[in-house]
Amino acid sequence: MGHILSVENVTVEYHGVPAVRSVSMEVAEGEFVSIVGANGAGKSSLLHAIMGLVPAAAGSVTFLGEDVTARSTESRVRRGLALCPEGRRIFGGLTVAENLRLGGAHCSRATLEERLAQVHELFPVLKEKASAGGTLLSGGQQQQLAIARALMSGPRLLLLDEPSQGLDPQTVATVFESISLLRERGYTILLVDQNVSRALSYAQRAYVVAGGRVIKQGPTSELAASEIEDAYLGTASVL
Amino acid sequence: MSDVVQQLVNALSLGSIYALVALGLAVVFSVLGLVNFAHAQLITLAGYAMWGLSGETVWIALLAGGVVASALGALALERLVFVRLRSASLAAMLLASVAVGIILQTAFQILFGAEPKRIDYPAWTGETVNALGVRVQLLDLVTIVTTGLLLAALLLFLRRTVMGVALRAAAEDFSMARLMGVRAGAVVAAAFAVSGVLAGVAAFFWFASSGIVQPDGGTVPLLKGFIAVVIGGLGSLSGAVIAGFGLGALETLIQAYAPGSVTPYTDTLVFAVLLIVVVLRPMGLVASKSRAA
Repeated sequence: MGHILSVENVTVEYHGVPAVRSVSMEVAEGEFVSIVGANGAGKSSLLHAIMGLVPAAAGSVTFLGEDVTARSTESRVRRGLALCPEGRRIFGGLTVAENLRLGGAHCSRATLEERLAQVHELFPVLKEKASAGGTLLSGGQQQQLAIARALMSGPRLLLLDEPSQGLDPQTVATVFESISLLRERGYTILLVDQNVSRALSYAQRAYVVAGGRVIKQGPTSELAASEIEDAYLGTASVL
Repeated sequence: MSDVVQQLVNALSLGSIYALVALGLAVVFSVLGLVNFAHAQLITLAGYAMWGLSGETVWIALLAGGVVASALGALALERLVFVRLRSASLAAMLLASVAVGIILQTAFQILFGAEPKRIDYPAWTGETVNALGVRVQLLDLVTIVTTGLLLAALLLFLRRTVMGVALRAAAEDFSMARLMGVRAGAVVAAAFAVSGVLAGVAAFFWFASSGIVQPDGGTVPLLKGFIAVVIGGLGSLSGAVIAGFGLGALETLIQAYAPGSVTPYTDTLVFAVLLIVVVLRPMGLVASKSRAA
């Protein structure tokens, strides 16, 4: 399998303080990869660097064979990267339909309508509530809208940042059913989640991040959840 | 009764101009978080463009000339100045807008002289008509109707077009809009273009009352528009419009019904209202969804 995303020695700094330290990782076409780690480990910063939301102080991001390190966020989205961000960040001033259409705004009208039909089939509630304000949906429905909105751009790689954050356990289960459905449909997914066992159970491979560094990586079958939890509970220096 | 209708028309007419200026400021603020003080010079620029077109009897051509000048001016400001400051602090952008405003005002003085220039408005702007049994200035009626049509057109643009929806999204959460593939440069340019068009229309009606334009001609409407934006809630488009009309009504009320000894202090009273609003509701009357506000 060829890698569609290659992150090489990427460092992210906020006011000179490193949040991500020389991280390298790859995602292959059709793969489901998880990044796990404690709060503040640098997981979201890494996703932001992949999307170009924060500049990489060092290293490079290659997507579909092209070095996109110097490309803008919108240019990366148009090339097939999509991020469903932490906290969902639904546009409250826009209706559900407008949120979705904006996600596919740079596509042709025919493609947009086709994708709209696809996400409506995946998440029927978004069709029922098309004219409702985006933030008037329940938490779980908002998460579905956030995922659907990211899918509207027709991504080759979908980045999901903490999709279960702030949701009750029952809703989390529903959200992960949706993610499972995406996996079955062949989407390439890079998931960030604090819940190690859940993140590992869905992914084929995982990266364990602590202190801005990758401290473990490999097929999830070879990574025991308990061992990983021990790893990011302060023993990163051992590795 | 006729006096009430007369004052209502005056209030709506003055409020229309303030609302247009305030909305122009609010559109840019909602996207960039910048209060563009050089908006005053866009209004003045439109005034000089109309002076240049003086003798033009088709009033639409005069209006269009002013609008094109201020819209192009706004786009030039964005391309030449603000695009370079995109990653700078808000304070830097604010200072830049003040600096550009001073440079432009000085340039107007050098190019056109310090003395006022007479804009040759068509004769109808000085005529009165009989409406609802009351004689009112035709200019006031046209101001109100044009503003109403422009606000409706802007509403359609914001609701029905991709760029309009992108503008609303960017106003709420710019980086999330970019994550939707919305081109940041295009959205910012659209915001400045809308702002410039609004400045041009406001200029046509503002300068019509005096018939003259001078280098600092846009300063007073800018100040009133800015007050309306703060009262309405920085970044809130509806707040800017509501407060613009409110400010027009307040000034008209004071001018019409306050004792003669008070009317010279109209601006003082307006600033007093601004202070009260800032103290009681620091975020303005209409809360903005913008992260910047």
